[in-house]
Amino acid sequence: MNGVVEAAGVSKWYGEVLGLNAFTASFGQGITGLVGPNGAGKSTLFKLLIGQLRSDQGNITLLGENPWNNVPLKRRLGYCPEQNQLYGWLTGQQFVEVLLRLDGMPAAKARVEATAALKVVGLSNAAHRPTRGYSRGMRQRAKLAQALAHHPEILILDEPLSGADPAGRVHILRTISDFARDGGHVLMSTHVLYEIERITNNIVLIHNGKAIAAGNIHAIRALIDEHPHAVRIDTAKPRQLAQALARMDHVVSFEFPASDTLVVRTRQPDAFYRELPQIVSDTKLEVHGLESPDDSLDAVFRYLVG
Amino acid sequence: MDWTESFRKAWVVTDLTSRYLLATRRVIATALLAAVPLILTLSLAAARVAIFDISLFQILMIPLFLQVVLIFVTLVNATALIREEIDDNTLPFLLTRPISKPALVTYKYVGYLIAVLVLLVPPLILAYGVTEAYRGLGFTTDLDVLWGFLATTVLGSAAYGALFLFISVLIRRPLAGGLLIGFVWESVVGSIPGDVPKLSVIHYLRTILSHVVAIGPLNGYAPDLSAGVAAGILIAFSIAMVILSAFVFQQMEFRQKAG
Amino acid sequence: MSITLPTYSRLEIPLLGRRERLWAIIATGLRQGVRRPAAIAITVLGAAFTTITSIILLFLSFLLPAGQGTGLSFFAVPASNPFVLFFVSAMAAVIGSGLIADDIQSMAFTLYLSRPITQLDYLLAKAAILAPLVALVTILPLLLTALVAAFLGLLSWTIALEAMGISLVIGGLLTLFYTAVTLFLSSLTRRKGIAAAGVFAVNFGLTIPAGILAESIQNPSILYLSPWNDYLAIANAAFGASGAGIDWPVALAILLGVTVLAALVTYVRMKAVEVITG
Repeated sequence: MNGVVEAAGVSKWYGEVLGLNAFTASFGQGITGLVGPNGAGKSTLFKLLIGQLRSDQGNITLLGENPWNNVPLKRRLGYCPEQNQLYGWLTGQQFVEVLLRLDGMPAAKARVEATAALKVVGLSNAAHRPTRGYSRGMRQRAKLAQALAHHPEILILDEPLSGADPAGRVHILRTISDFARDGGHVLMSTHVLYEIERITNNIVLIHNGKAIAAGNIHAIRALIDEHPHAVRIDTAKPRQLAQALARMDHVVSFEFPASDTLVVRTRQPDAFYRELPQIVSDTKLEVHGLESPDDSLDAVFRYLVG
Repeated sequence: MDWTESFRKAWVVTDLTSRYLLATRRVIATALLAAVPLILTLSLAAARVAIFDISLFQILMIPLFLQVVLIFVTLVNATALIREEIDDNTLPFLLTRPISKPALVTYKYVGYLIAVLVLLVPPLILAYGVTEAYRGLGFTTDLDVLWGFLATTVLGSAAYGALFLFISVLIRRPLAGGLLIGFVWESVVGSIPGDVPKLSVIHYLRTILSHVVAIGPLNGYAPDLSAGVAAGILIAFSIAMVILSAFVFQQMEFRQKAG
Repeated sequence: MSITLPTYSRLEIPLLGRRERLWAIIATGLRQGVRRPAAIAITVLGAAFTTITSIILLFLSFLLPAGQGTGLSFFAVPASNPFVLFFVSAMAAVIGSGLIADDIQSMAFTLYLSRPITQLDYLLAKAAILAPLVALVTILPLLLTALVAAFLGLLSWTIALEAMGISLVIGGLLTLFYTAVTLFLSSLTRRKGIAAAGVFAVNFGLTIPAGILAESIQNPSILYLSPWNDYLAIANAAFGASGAGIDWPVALAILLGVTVLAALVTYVRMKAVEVITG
């Protein structure tokens, strides 16, 4: 096991609530997205990795070391918490500088690095304003600046895009990509799949404290495709349409939940959507509505967790 | 061990802490209360109260300054060191720096001491000065009284601060526990017979005052204990509480509240 | 193919009256504040302790030589019960300090103001949460003591009823004072612990030195600075007892004045509060 993060059977209880449930995963180099719905255990995993929590069972390592009370390891990591609170009485510049000096940097160097980090995240104009006056997006950038400023080996970002406006999101994602391109590792959590898809193909899906899938995003999509994909079609003549669609090899089954509704299950949704218009045109059947209740992260989880 | 880096980190945390305690809005309340002795002496002088002298100064300062002002200022500031960082969700910024938790607690405590002494000492010295000036006496006439109160301020700040710091890492709502100890136990314990008063900080503060001040209302208090021993006990108590706080903090996990 | 948009009509829900809205805030506050073990403990302990000590004082009064302490003036003794001062401070600190501070900290204040609730409604509701609980310590012990005395035949019903009426008035005054001052302190900060410490500091910080100073310099007018001594002067005068050392009309004016001032300043502050989000 020589991943950036190695977790083997890690469990964490909060009283009677299980935050992580025998979580086992290995996070490789580059950018890895940790994707899961709210309450899946993403933040719990991150807190274990930064040494804020201790696992009740199992082993977890970051860069090959146990994070609990590991002071030297802190030099190598940069953490961007989910919560938006900063030291409100400090300016953005002071905030990053103070934390850099806690990394052991001399004052003059800390000032230079803080200025540079704030420029990278696009906060130069607001650097000398107290952070209590920052908007949510600005706070997000300030948090990212303090995580990046000391040039860590790994960035651990807990919902870094939360609260950011569209322009801010683009900026943050570009910053993360640049960091990874320069050789850094990034572990980023989100509950929105399309956010992470923009910068990486490596994701780990977490649900109810367990890692349910890990690897290349296309491989996980293919996993979905192996399970029949439901498509709901609203039409006045569902049975006639079903007859026409039956010639597709990848169609598995039909359901008629209402007199004007047809639900088709197909193993190859891409092929289905490609062929459907021609079939509808040939049969001259009217289609009033088309919906895929399965095209979502929830559907992925439902398939994967059974 | 890189001592330069350790001193640098110590300075940063100490500076951050004392700035938080002195330069944010909370200082309005603490500074106002710390100034009560000065306000009181100025009022007595302005009202030209005939019997206002160093004796009256002591009679007032012992219950007011030692049992109200000192406790309030130390309580509000010491409990803020760790517990408010946890409540404000800013602790992760410090915990993800290469600084050990015991060191963090210790440096924050030093920052607290600096801040509290900045708040308490100047008004006390000025109040003493007003008292002496009112009687037309020189500043050095009753220096033993000033030294006595300064010593109790410094040692009381250290001891109460360490105690409240320990309470704040131990329980989620330290102010309630601190209020009970500071305003109830410390007030009532002196009336309990036997050795029970020795289980309070105020007992040792009164002992120091009784020995340092040549003539005062506490003369004869706890004759079996010298000022040096009382001071030593308070210092040892403070160190023990800080060490305990560091130990408990080292083992603590931080779940963080929802933002 | 033509497209027609669906039509819909908004369901108008009738707005509940002001009383219902106030009651919603009160119920939320009571649920939040009184469910805590510390709040329950301090309320029960306070009410029980002050009542029991008052009744004990009643029985002790009958150990006095005949003719002393068994008329209306006896009630000045339980009214001066120092445990009332302690428990009122404790209740204000434990229950009252967070009433406004918690709402500012959690931004619930923004939610309240986004409803058809005025700042006045909000403050009245908060006062209605704290005042009854404080009254358990300031009024209830006196009422029960009078009742017990009457039932046991220690005092005539006429005197007991008169005592109960006076207890309602002076206890109510003390309740209003502490409610107003506690809410004022709670509105000053988003950390309820500091407000709680402030309640203790104001109480004991004024009462202790005022007493010492008045005795030392033989000037009882210093006692006006202490709200507790103001209340004692009023209580003694109301029950026909002597020995307060200061004039009750001045004391009454001070207590009422501070109550109104605290309430006004709190209201003005609440009107000016900007809760910054983001």
